[in-house]
Amino acid sequence: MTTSGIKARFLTGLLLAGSITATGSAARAAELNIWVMSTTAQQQQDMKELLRPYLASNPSLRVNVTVLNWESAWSKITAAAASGQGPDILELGTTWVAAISSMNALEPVSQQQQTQMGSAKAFIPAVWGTTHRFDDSTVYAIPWYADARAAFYRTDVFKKAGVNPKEAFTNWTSFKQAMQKINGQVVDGKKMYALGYPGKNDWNVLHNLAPWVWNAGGDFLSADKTHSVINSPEALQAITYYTSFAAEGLVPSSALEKDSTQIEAGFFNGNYAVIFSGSWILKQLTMPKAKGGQMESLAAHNFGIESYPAGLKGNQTFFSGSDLAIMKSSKNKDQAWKLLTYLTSRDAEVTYSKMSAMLPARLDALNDPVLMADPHYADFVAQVKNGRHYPSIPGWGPLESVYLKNIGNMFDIVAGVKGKYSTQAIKQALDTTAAEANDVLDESR
Amino acid sequence: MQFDTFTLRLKKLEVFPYLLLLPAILMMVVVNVTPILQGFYMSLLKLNQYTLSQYLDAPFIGVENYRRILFESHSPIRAGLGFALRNTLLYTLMVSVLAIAIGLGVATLLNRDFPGRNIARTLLLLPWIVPSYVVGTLWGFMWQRDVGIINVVLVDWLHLFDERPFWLLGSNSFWAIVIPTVWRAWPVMMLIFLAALQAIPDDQYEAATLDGVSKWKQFFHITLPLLKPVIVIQFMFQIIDNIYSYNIVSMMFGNGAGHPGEWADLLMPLLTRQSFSYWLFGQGAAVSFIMMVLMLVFVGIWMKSFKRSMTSDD
Amino acid sequence: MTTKRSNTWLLNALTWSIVLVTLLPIFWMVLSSLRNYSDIADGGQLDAGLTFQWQNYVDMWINVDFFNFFKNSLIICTLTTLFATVSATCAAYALARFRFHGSNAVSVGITITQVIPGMLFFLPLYMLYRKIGESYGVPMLDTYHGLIFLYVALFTPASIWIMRGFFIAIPRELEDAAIIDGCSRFGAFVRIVLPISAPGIIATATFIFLLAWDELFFAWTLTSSSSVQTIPVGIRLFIGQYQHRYDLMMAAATVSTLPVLIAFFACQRFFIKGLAAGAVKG
Repeated sequence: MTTSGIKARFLTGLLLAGSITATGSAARAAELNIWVMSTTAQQQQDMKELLRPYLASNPSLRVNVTVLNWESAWSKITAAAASGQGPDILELGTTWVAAISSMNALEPVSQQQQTQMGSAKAFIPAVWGTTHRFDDSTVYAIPWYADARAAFYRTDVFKKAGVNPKEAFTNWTSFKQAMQKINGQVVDGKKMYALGYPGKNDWNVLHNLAPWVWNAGGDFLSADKTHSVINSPEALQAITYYTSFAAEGLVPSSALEKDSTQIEAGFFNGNYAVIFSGSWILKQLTMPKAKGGQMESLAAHNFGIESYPAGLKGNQTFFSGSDLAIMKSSKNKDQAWKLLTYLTSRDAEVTYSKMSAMLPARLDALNDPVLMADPHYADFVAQVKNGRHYPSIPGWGPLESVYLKNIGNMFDIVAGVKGKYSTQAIKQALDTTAAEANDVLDESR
Repeated sequence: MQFDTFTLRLKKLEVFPYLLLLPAILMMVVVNVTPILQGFYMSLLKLNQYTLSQYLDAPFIGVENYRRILFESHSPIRAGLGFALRNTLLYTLMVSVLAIAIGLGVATLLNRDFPGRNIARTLLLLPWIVPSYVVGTLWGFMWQRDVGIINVVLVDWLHLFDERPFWLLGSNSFWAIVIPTVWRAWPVMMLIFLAALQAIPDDQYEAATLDGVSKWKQFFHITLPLLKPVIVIQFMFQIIDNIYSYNIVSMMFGNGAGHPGEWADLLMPLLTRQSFSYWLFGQGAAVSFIMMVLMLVFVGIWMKSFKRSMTSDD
Repeated sequence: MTTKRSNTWLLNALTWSIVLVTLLPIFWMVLSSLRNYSDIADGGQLDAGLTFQWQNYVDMWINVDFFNFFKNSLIICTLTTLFATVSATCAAYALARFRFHGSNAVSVGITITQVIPGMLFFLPLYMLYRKIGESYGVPMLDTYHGLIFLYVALFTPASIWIMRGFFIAIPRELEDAAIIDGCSRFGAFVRIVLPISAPGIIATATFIFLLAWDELFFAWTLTSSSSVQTIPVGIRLFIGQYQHRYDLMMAAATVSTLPVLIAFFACQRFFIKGLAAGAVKG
C-alpha cells in the first residue's frame, strides 16, 4: 500500500549499456549498441529491417537496438551522458544535441568525416544547424530525419464552401476570412469546425506556435540568446492571432483539452476542416483502421496540403527531427561511425522515410524519385521549403519546459476556464512566462 | 517445568531473533540508508547539467540550496511550488478521507450475507488490480469534455448538468485527479475494514439489539470504537501514499507530455519536472529532504497521539 | 417483516449499483481494447456497435516486444514474492515474539523507510549499483537479480508490518507446548506457527506480487534492455509522440491484469481471513 506511493517515475533513467564489446582485429566479432526512439509503428522490427543490408555485408557485427519512448528518452539520455555509460550510437532529438554535447558526452565529427557525408550542403539547412551549437562550428552529429509542419485541409469542404485554397492560405487576413466562411459546414451528417489545434495537454504546444511567432517577426529567444522575448509585441500579436481562432469559435473549445494525436484523428474523422501537422500522418493513409491507419476515411481521399499562411515577415514552417551521434564513451568508434554513415546514407534514409513517413534529412534522399512518386509526399515537400529550427543552445531543454508549462496555463484562459479572454490577459500570461524563462536562463549561466 | 522453559527460552533468545531478522535488515540498510545519506549530501552540492557527471564530487555549497528554496522567490524551482503544495495538501486530505469513508461504508454493506457476495467482493477489487500507469491514460480519455464517457453519463443520461463541464482544464482538473485515485484506493480499504468487521464477535451486537438499540447507533457506538486502531493506521498510510502521488497525474494530461495545470499539479510531478527539466538536482534533493523531514514529524506526532490505540498488546 | 425485506432489497440494490459504478472504468478499458484507435480518440467506443477488433489482442504482441516484457514481469515478480515473503515472515516473527535490543529501533526503522521520497532515492541507488558492477564485477544494473534485490528490499518493510499482526494474534501457548515436547524454537516456528498463519502469509504474498507487478519507477531507471524490462516500462511504447495505438495499450493493460486477477481469485479465501488478524492488530 505505502510502498507503491514511493515509486515516482523520475525522468532520469540511469542505465548501463551492459554490452560486452570487443576491440581488436576483424576476425573477432564486434558488438554495437544503438538507442533509437519510438518513431515508426513497429520500431524494433523496422530497425531490424533497416539494418538488414548492413548486417548482411558485415557478418561478424552484432547490433543491439534499444527502443526508447520519446517521453522518457530525454532523461535516459542525459543520465547516460552524465554517467558516461551509454550506447555507441545515440538518436538525439535535434533540440538536444547542443545540450548533450555541452556535457562532453559526444564524439565530435571531424572535417574529414563531414566531407565524407557530403558536408552541410548535402542536408536540409534547418536541420544541419542542429548538429552544432549556434556559436561553435564543431559538429557533433549527423542529421537522420526531419519533422516538418504544413497545413492539411479538406478539399471537398473548401469546394463546397466556395473557398479557393491557394487564396485562403496566402496571408493571415485571407486565412481568417476563409476559416470564418468554412466554419460550421455539415459534412457527412456531422458539423465540422474550421480549424483544430491542441491546447495544453500536448508536447507540441510550442511547436504549434513557432511558425506564427516567427512569421510575425517575433522569436522565443533574443538574438544574443540571453533573454526571453516571448512577450515582445510581435510575439504577442502572433499569439493573440493564433488564440483568437479558439476564442471566436473557429476552433472548438473541446479541442483545447486534446493532444496532437487526437486532433489528427479528429481531422480524419471529419471534426475539423484544417489542421497543421507533420508528414507522419501521411503514413496512416496506407493502413487500414484496424492497424491504426485511416485508409478508409473520407478525409483520406479528399485532402490537400498547403504551407503556413505568410505573416508580415515570411511564411516559415517549423522544423525538428533527429540526428545520430556517437558517444565519447563508445569503445568501438570506428565501427560505430561506419554504421552511422550507413544509416545516414541516401538509401537508408529513403527506406526509413518509407517506414516512418518522416522526411529524410539528406537533400538527395528528400527528393528521391521513389518517394516523390507519391503525390502527397511530393506535395508536402513542396510546402516546407522555408524551414526554420529553434536556436541550437545547450539550455534549450529547460527553456522549452518553461514555455510549455506557461503557455499551457495561457491556454486555460483561451478555453475560458481561467478568467476572461482578452489581449491584456494574454499579455500578462506572456509576461509571467518571460519572467520564469529568464530565471531559468540565469540559472544555467 | 516452568524453570526449564525459561532457561531454554533465555538461551535461544540470544541469537535466534537476530538470525531471523538478518536478511530483512541487511536489505533495508543497503537500499535505504546509503541512499538517504547520499541524497542528503546531494542537497548540499551544486548539481546541475554541467556538474552531474561529477556526482558527489560536485562543488559543495552547504545550505545554499535550502536558502534559495526557502527565501528566494525567483528561484526556478519555486515556480508553481505554491500551487503544487496547496493542491497536494487538499488532494491528500480529500483522497484519504474519501477512500476510508467509502471503504468503510462498502465494507459494512458487504458484511451481510447476500447472494453473490463473494463475486461482488472480488469484482470490487478490480480497480486496485488495474495498473496505476494505465489508470491515468484511461481516465484521461474518460474525462474528455465532449466525448468522454463520464460527461456522457452525467449530462446525457442523468441530466445532472446543463452544460458539459471541462474536467481536464481549469479548477475541475483537481477533481479529475482526485476521483481516479479514490477509485483505485478504496477497494483495499474496504478489504481491510471487511476483515476487521468480521473479526468482531457477534455477541457485541446481540446485547445491543436485545436492548432495542438501532443499527445506526450500534455502528457509531460499537463498531467505530472497535475499528479505531485500524482506521488510524490506514489513514496514516493513505496520507503518506498520497503526498507522494505521481503516476496518475503524470499520465492523465496528454499521456505525460502535457502539463497538469494550476489545479492538478502535485508536489512530486512538479519536483520531478523542475529538477530534471531545469537540471536542478541539488535543489530537488533539498526539497525532497525537507518533505521527508516534514513527513517524519507528521508520522511521529500521529503515532504519539494515537499511541494507545495502535500499540499491540505484547 | 415487509420493512425488513424491503430494507434488504434496498441494500442489495445499493450494493450492486456500487459494483456497477466501480466497474464502469474497467468495462471502458476492455471495450476500448476492442475498438480501433480512431474510435477511441473520438470517443466513439459506444457508437461502433458490435464490431470488435479482436485483432488488437494479436497485434499487441507484435507491435511492441510485449512477450518479453510479460515474461520478465512474471519471473521478476514471482521471485520477488518468494524472497520477500520468506524474509518478511522471519523478521515479523522475530519482532512479534521476542523482546531484544533494538526491536524498537527496527520497528521505527520500518516506518521511516515508508516515508522516504523516491527522489532522494534513485540517483544514489543507481550509483551504488553501478559501483558494485564496476568494482566487484557483479553486474546489478539491467539484470534480473539487481531488480529483484531492490524489490525485495522495498516491499519487505510493509509486509513485516502486516505479518507481525498475524503472529501476535496467535497464542503463544501453542509454541510453548511444542517446545516442552522437545521441539526446537525454529521447529516450533516451522511446524506450528507457519501452518496456522498460512492465510496471512498467502495474503501477504499476493499483496507483494501486486506491488511488484505495478512497480514502474525503479523498473524503468535500473534497466535498459527489453530482455529485462517489465510490463510497466514496455506498455508505454504503444503511445508517444508519433505513436497512437491506444487500442493496443488497452489490450495490453487488460492482459496485464490477468495474472494478478488469477492470483487473487485463487487466494480469495485466504485473503479475507488473513487480513483479519493483521488488520485489527495493526
